[in-house]
Amino acid sequence: MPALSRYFIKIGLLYLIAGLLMGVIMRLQPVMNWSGQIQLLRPVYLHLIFIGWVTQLIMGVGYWMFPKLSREKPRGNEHTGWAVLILLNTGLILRSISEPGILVTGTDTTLRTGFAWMLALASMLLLFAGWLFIFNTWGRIKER
Amino acid sequence: MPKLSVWMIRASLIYMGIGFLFGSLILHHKGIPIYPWTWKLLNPHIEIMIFGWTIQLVMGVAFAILPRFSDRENRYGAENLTWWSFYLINAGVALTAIADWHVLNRLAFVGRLLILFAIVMFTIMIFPRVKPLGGFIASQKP
Repeated sequence: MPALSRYFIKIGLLYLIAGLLMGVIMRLQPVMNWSGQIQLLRPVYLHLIFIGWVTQLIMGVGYWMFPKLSREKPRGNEHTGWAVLILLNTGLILRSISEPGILVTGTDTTLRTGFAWMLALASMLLLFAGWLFIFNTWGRIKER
Repeated sequence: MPKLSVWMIRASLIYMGIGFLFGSLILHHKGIPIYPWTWKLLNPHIEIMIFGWTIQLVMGVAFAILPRFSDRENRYGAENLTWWSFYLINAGVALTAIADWHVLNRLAFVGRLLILFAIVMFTIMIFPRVKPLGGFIASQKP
């Protein structure tokens, strides 16, 4: 298995654990009478599982097992593959901080503006990651 | 990779690209607002990511890698049924996403029904291929 696939899958597993931990905390909130603000984690929780785990697992296994592009470049452009890994994970981490952050900042406009721009940046990083993956994978989806 | 898998996986990648775009616009809008209508993309985003991207990708990969039949003419099973499944899931996802955008409940119902038919057809086709490698003799071993 290529190194890039190992990174995708191992990081994906960590997101799965982090997402499920978040799910446990959200379920504990009404039981333990904790602050209702914990429920603001819901979009992050869903995306840690769906993007961090499911999509990243698909990317890792796809990079490894989809048909070879050519003898010279069996898995497409490897640098592009690494760029996808970095953009996707940076975007997801920034999102995980700024999405709940923007909702709990209250009247602190400086902090709120910071989180707002962080969220906008995360949205672009995630979009580029997704599109780069498609660009790098498209040619490998072919009949043998 | 069989032709049908190529079409399914490429269609799923197109949906992935659209789904990521919608998700990105919504996320950006949460921080720095873009257009007032951006939130209307939420339901189409969910529909596209679950059915258009993930489920269709799994179907395409399953069609390629699950054990085949020994009959060379018919090694993938009822291929016609799977082509119909491909047409229906794509029509269903597109219809449901458009209906969600315009808040057309009847059209969304039709779209979801098409997806159901697609999955039923795919299940009928793939069910006998979920078997041990090596055909009948292998299946008799404990």
